[in-house]
Amino acid sequence: MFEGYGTDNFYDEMFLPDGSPRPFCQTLIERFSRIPEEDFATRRAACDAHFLRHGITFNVYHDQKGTERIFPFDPMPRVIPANEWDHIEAGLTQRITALNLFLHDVYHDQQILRDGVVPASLVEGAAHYRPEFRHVDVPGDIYIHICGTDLVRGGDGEYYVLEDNGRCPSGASYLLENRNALKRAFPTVFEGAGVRPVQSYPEDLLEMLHYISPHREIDPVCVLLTPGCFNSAYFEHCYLARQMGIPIVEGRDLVVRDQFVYMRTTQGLVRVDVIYRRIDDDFIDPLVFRKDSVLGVPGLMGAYRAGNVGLANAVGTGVADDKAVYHYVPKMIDYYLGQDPILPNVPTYLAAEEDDRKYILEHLDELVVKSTNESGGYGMLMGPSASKKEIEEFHAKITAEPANFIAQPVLSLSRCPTWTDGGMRGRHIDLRPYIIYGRDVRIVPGGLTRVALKEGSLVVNSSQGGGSKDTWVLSH
Amino acid sequence: MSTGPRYQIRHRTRFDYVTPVTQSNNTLHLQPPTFPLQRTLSSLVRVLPATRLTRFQDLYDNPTHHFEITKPHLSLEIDSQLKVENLPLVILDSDLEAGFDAINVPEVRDITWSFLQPSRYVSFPPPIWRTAVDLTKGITPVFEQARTISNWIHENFTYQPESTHVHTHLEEVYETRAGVCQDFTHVLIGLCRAAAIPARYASGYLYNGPRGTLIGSQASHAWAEVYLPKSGWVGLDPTNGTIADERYIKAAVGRDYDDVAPIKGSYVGTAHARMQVDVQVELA
Repeated sequence: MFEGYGTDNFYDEMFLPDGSPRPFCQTLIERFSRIPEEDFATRRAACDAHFLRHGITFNVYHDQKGTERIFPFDPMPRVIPANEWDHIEAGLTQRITALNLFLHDVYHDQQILRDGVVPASLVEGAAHYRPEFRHVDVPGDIYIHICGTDLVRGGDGEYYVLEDNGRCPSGASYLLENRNALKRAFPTVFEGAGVRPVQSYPEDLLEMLHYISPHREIDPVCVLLTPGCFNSAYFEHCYLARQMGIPIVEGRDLVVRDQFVYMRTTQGLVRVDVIYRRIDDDFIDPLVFRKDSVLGVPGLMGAYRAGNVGLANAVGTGVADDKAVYHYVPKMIDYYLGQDPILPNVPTYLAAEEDDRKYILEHLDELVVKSTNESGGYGMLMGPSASKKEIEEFHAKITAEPANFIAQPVLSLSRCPTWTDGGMRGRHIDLRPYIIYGRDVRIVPGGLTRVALKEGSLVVNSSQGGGSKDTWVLSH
Repeated sequence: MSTGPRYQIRHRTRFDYVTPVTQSNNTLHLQPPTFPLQRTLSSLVRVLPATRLTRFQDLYDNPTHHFEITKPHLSLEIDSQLKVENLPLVILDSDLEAGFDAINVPEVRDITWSFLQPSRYVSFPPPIWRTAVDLTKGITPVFEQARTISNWIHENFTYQPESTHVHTHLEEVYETRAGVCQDFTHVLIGLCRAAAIPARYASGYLYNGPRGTLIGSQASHAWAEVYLPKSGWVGLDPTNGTIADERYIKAAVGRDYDDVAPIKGSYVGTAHARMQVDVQVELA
């Protein structure tokens, strides 16, 4: 199965440069090698059928062919040894704490801006900054309750933070379902491998929602607010609501009376204490944000400001996951926690700064350029593979609106064995762990490993043809 | 790989003021340095309202945090999260038997000198000196002397919360024979120093199983450490009458409480404040 496999000078997650397996992967590779190839193909097909039959799908915007697709699943897991996970866990805990302190500061006294550590113009000008919410206290002083932080491993074997997703990160349902699919299709591989379980995620999520209930009742009413079945992550919304045992609602199911939020039910109105909202700030309340939104709940922000309902995530967290603010996260860690960052950032150039801009424009063919306020791989230029026309377009865009762009060097992402038409081959991967911040910080061991299925490709986003893998964190 | 227990500690302190206060300046001793038998796996100190936290090493190598909040505020929250790994305590036989000649050598005195002097809460006036001499008479090994003093305190002093406050001096405790772990530790340090045994103050936490019954197991705790020639500083807990083994987690060390107070600070504003402290120590 691993015939002809080469690491090709990339950092490989499973093999050493000399072609021998990393010690912690030895058993796994042996177990996989024992499966005959036809058998392997059948089991793989069974996984795909499982995903499709259970509706574990996502939608792609601007695609007319059909609305639902499965997220391609690669059965070869990605393995993280215990000591590496300890390092990642400590780094993420540090980072989420600093980000939440930053948000608290930005929405209160703005000390960090006064001290000139983060430029005030960057925050005030950020697309997702919500000055309406300055001096509003949020339950537990937590803003980002759920964060999906994208990590990559460079050629040096070091983990880097690529970006923080602190608005409505999605993908946790795939992490849970990938584990189920793998266990079902390859029970002999999984058995006794010492993999830490991930099944506590929905429970942790619900516990966090209870924690931020403003009324501290024994059994607060929590709901999941979805924009509806045309959203790309609708499957996940249903899945998580079902796993947590809470109602899934759309904007039209909720009403606000006297600054309290109620849910319409067949038994009349029921008061809602906490909303796990999977709808962007822009659409959440037409009275405060976009007037044309029909997805939101008029008056919801009034109830929130009055402290009558908890929201996860809080409003305005986008200012912390802004791609230009990202550059300053190591400085925030130093400022609020007096520590050095445990997980470093990828070096980032800000087009808003003159020297950096000059460098970016001169090296467009070598850099990855990202728009500061888009996610999911939209509005992005991959320098080395871009056409001349694309580069010219970006040159013009950056010159016109420099503050909207950042650039990063192309990282040589680590690779992991992945099944392809030509057998097992190395493909580039990243990792998105899910951090839950309630009474304490909890990170489900592992996360979602995304893989760029096309040879040589570095883009792992599901909307751009990426797949995913099960992620194994080994116990001590 | 790992051979000792790992602990997870959450130490939260919250101050609520009746009216807004300003000019708050604070120093924290919540992050332990690395000790021979204790390693910090991770440490995180979170202060709300969010403000700049600066860090430096104090005179005794404890990582120390400092912050100021100049704007009016109604509450202050300091939340420390700590993960440590301890190694089992082993005291060498030669240390159990070592006499004063082994610690009265220049290399050792270089380390221990300041832990033999009087300090903010510790002194040794004649009555204390007398007690120290009486208790240690006829015992040669340094460690045995210290243990005898510690056991004497455990047997003769009453644990009585509210009988003292954070600024109670050793001499007062010595009179009333009542207090809390901080006070007993000061008495032990004073008696040891009077007997020429180098002694320092350790502040930290104590793990005693999920349902800890030892005093100090769900609060911050304090004990004393004496210096032995080979093993270095070894802890004695006069509150529980035990040796401080791998269940004890140090946060900072110094001459007495004044050097290591977990939170020390001042502000301008009302004296009407409520403080809530919550400490959880769990196996990680």
